Amino acid sequence: MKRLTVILSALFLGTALFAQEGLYVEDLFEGRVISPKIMKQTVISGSRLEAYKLDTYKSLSFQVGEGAFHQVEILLIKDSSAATDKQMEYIEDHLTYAVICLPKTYTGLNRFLCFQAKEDKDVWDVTVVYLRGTASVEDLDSMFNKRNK
Amino acid sequence: MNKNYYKRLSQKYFDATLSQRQERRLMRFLSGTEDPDFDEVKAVVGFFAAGRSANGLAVRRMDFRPWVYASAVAASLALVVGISLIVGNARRVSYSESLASMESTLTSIFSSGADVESELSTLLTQNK
Repeated sequence: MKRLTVILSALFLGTALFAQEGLYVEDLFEGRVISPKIMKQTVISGSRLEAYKLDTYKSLSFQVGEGAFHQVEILLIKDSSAATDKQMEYIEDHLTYAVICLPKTYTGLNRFLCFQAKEDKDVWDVTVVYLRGTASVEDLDSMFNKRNK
Repeated sequence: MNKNYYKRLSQKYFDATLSQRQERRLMRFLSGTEDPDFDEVKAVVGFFAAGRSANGLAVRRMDFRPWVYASAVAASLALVVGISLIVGNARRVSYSESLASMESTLTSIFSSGADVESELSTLLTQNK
């Protein structure tokens, strides 16, 4: 019984640590906003991300209509209210780009939410990324911004 | 089926001219009859059955040789190692694809936002 309790606690703790730590976009990653059937999700964690100074990478990409897109926008905007730093871009009142630096985790890791959306004939092509690690936004920019090279 | 029929089958049994079907039929009959006229054939059938059983046991014993165990263990290990290599390789390929996809996504995001520094610099230059 004692062993079972330890195992269950470890599982619960692992799940809690892996989740987006109280973000509104968690609903999106959990498939509660848009059907998981139409979303492509990539999750990478652990030592393979060491080179990027990250420990968790989660991305979602999907195509949705205006209504569903608006729901996603709202989640991002709500999460941005807690940001320590952010860059958000709008086209005709629609959020089309965001890099949101979230408050650090209790273990001192940096967290980021990235968002990119493009509209074509009333269909929104959306990408949402959650990053966690020791990398700063400057590190990410120097690693992935082609304009710097 | 009367007694004469089984007597004939018994005779054919001794002549070794029974078909498999006839032999099965005779065995079924012998297992249920107490007729002393069939004691002789029952004894012969029992003797051969015991012989078959003993030989079967001997053959099975031969299967338990150490090299059989060793071969079985080696084959199992080879199977496990083979499967691990295949799965490991598939996972490596999948991980590389995921990392490539991650790099592509993050490059797209971090390269497409407005270059705030450059925009501010342009504005400040224009105001001078």
